[in-house]
Amino acid sequence: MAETKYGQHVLREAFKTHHQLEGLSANGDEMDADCILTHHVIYKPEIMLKEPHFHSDFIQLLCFLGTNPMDVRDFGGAVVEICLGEEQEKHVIDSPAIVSVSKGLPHGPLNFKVIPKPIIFLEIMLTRRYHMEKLNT
Amino acid sequence: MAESKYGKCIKTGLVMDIPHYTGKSIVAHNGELDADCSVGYHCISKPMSFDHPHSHGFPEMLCFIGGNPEDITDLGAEIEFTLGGETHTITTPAVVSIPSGVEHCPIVFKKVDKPLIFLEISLTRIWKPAGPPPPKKKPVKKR
Repeated sequence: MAETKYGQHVLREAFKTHHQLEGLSANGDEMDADCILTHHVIYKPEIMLKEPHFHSDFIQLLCFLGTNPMDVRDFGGAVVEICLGEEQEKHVIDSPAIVSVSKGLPHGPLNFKVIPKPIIFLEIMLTRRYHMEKLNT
Repeated sequence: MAESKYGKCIKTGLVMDIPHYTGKSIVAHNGELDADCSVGYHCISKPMSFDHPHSHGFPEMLCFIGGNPEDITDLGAEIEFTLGGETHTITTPAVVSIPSGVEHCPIVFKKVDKPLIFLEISLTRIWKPAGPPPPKKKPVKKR
């Protein structure tokens, strides 16, 4: 198509590698939206967050998904540990889940502890610009 | 854990059957996330289409991602996506960022060689279809 009005909305090169393998990610300016998407393929154990942090003015949705598209319940035996709150309440995720992190809620450490098969870690951040704050220690 | 303050943030009961997708989907369209955001994660393994052109009063991001986690760039599909009346062909993974009010559809999954992920993210707490599809025309009876 020579010239289009809406072609800018179709992001075809939104590949980024943030952690392990290439994923499909786009920031707020790229999508012209108050939203950031990061899609990570996790194929080996990794402590992604060693310390807790929080975002005072936006909500973050952390999605932990399997990679068998024919069976969305198949988490492949993965075990992920995430701590929430200042008290670092630990939750173990061993099936697909969405963690809804409200504004100001500390999260971390985040440990992809057991990864027998690749999983997807999808972050949806309801902000145009990413920023984070650390807890006073 | 006997009692938990934050367990409610972890949503695991969002798996459901939606007949036109393959297998099961993960869907939070009704405020389950307690955020101004709704999500649907689906698998598509055969040609299908969404035919009814419509728009929403919120931005919507539709993501088309290869189903092989070791190489998400391998989409294995050809999709015709109509946005604002323009048809765009998608053959590699893409995010379509639809501004509020812009008409979209038909979306035609013309060729599907291998299962792919269709992820929809809408910046609204409650997602609803934008009105019913137009009524089917009654066949004209010949006299």
